[in-house]
Amino acid sequence: MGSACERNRVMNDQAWFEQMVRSLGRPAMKFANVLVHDTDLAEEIVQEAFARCWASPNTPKPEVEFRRYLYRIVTNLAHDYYRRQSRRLALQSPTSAAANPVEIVERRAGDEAMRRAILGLGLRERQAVYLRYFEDLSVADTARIMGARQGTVRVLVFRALGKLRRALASRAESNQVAI
Amino acid sequence: MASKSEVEARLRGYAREYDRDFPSTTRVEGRIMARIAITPRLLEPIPTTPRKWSLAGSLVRDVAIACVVLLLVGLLVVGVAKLRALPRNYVPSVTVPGKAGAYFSALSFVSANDGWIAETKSSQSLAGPTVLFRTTDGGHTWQRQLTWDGPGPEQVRFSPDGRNGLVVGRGGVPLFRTADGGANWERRSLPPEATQVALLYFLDAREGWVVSYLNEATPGFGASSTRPTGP
Repeated sequence: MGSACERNRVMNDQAWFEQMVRSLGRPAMKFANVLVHDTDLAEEIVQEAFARCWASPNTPKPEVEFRRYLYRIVTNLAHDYYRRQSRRLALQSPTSAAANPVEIVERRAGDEAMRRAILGLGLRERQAVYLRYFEDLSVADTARIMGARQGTVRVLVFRALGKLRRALASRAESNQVAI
Repeated sequence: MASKSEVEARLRGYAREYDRDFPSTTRVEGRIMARIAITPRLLEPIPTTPRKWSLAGSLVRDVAIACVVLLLVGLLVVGVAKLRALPRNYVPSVTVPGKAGAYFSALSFVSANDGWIAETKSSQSLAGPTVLFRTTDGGHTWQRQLTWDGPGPEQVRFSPDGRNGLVVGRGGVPLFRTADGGANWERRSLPPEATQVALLYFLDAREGWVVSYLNEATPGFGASSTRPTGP
């Protein structure tokens, strides 16, 4: 009786979790890709984040809260990646750019200058810009997902827009040709 | 440079393109579910058990805590005792860089930040050397500006703009004048009939006056003026 009940519970949990993966898998992939700008790594991060959500007994059930929890894990994993990368940087030899399908798509999309400008932002700024402009979240929701105050989010977005403006302007100047 | 709203519009356009062209994640979702199938799920939070100390361990811990508490109490007692030992009207002394026991005189501030002070060996002796210090940060740091081997100054006065200045030693010797805010000093002397300076003041930014006592042979007060030759 007890084991049947347990089995039912696990089945229910799996159904619920699969629904979360179906609805949040793509947004999480896009979010992770904006943070680390590497499709393979983004997939690894998203897999790990979902696995942690599944394993943890503290994972919230409602989708809104689940999304916040998942994005926090994705951000922490991206942070860990950059920390490890900065340690390795001195030892790494320059590698040739691997064929990245998302990068190819982005380049085809046209706004190469914007893509490069976003790459120049810091991790927190990229996170804030993605949530505000790519997912169209409000400042309050962005702050909730980032675990920051609304004022901090406003400052991060303001600074990020300033950096983007400067980067786009300098790129536009470098593209000008003297006649 | 593009305005903020233009950058925002361009960013939104880029976001739409990014969303439209992002590859399908169906396979990724499948891989996530496959991983979930082999990942154990904790249904209840793991209870945290309090750390158990052995008898020796707890003894060492208690002794360490007692030592720290005793040290802190000792520091507090010593501090309070030292504070109580101070005289009631104790005023901490403030000194400029110099020798211990030196005598400071002729403190004069041109503005809230710009000021002068002289340091000499003693208030009694007329022996030097005497050093004139200048501060430009309200007295936090002092720089040596002028040194002479003679008595410390009785008065230091500067014009309101801080460029023209007069320094007079005790007994009117020596008398120094600057016309460039203290960068260069020129040694002057009082007229022969004057013995001691009574008053130094500046009428305006360019004109300074020295009012002095006259010697016994010439009763009354004397006054000499100084005007810079420059513009």
